[in-house]
Amino acid sequence: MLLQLEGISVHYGAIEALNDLSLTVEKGEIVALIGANGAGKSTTLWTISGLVRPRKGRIIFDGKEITRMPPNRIVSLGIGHVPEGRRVFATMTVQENLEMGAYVTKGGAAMREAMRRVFNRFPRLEERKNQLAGTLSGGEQQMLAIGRALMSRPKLLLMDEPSMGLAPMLVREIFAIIKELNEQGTTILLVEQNAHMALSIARRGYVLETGSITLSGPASELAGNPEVRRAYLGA
Amino acid sequence: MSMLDDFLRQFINPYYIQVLMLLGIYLIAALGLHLITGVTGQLSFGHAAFMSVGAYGAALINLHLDLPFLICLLAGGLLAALAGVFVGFPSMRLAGDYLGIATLGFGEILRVVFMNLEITGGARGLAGIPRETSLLTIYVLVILTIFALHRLQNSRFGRALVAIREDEIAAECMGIKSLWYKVGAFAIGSFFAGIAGGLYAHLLQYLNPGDFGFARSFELLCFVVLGGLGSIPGTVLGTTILTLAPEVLRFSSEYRMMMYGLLMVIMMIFRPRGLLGGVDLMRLVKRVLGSRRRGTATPAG
Repeated sequence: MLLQLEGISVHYGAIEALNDLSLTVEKGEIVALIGANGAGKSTTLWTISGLVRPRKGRIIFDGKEITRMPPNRIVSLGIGHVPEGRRVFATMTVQENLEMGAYVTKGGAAMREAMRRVFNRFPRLEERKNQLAGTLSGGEQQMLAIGRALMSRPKLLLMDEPSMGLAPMLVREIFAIIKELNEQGTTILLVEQNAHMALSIARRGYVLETGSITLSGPASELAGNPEVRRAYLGA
Repeated sequence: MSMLDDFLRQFINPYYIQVLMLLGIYLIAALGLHLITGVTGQLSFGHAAFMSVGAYGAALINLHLDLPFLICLLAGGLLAALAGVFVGFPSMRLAGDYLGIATLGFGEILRVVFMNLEITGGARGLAGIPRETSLLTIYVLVILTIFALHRLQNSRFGRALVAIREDEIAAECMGIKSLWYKVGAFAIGSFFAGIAGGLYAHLLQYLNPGDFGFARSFELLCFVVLGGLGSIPGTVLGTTILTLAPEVLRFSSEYRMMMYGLLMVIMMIFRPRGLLGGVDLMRLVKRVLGSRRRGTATPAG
């Protein structure tokens, strides 16, 4: 088991964002976490990355407890985070953005190697490496956000709404990239509102409703579940 | 009093020398604020308060302990940096306008404290500070400040600060501890404000808490914003224009704030990112040298 969340509860002030949430991600899987706006999907990823502290529960990654570790340690242990809405550093160049992704690894030969791999996977980013990230198109920015997270050579990639605000053709392209990354050995925890696409590439899925897991199982099973179909697949 | 000052005094009206010295002092303070607001994107309305910590700190150490001037200056800067850490930790959890309000409050509190302390001379002010600041000292320190901040801005630390300005959440996702970096930037920026304060104290030889009120903090912010957020040449230009213009135009000081308002509105219409927004020091130097070598003028842009 690569990642395990046990009974995680998160509060924002008096508001409970996550309530006794447990989930697991096996090495090599794509796991989809689907749910409506405000269900706590992003909070779950932030908690794993250490940006939000849980009030209760434990998070175990690769055999180590990371529950109260600072984000920089968690990144260096091998968790990469592609935040919702891309969030590239607009006034930095593509290359500088990628360098920021390797911030915890402190540059050097390892960083150059990581950048070469990112450029191999996203040749378009190499073509535009000296361009300011803010001037890229939405799809290119999403590729940059993914590339930036890959710079720390993560074992587990947390992806928050990678399809958000992209044209359908680009959504398919991004999902193809996610699948390819997974086939090359990166485990992925995918948060999506686009449940249909997410379940089509995931092996397993969880349904999150107001801070709790209400359903879980193999992705194909969830995609066929009448309740899921009605609530998230618009069928 | 250095020999250079005596020498210059024979040719230049001492009043202008005084103006140039004040300009240098504001440059150092504004460059400190440039790091906090321009590079890291944290709004501070209390920068003059850090100047006052350095000013009173350096002056009191000089008056009571009689240490060498540069040591007093450094101590004043370090005290200001310490104050920056104290204020930074609680207030850097706030963002945007809220941070602005917190720093504004801190500045006013400090002014009132200095106004009521026995040791700072209370509302009468602190007099009898020896005049140790010279034009040479100031401009050597201006150059050191520019050099240090340029190096800092282009270091690993500096890039993290820019990342925080651009997108704090994304920076945290990359494993950058934004609170530490923001407090660090705040402390370093305050250090330069403190150095400027110490120079100011040993130039005017008299300190009054009113010298470091909200108006002064706002002035410093105008210097940085007019020149262009994030740009060292911009900050230098903004400070120079806004410090010298009232002298050159011989406006009375009451019109100064009106002029600021007007300049800001003009800037927002024509150069919304500031006069030299986004212009890097080295790129500017290279461009100027490059165009001179080729003997042709390259269009700016």
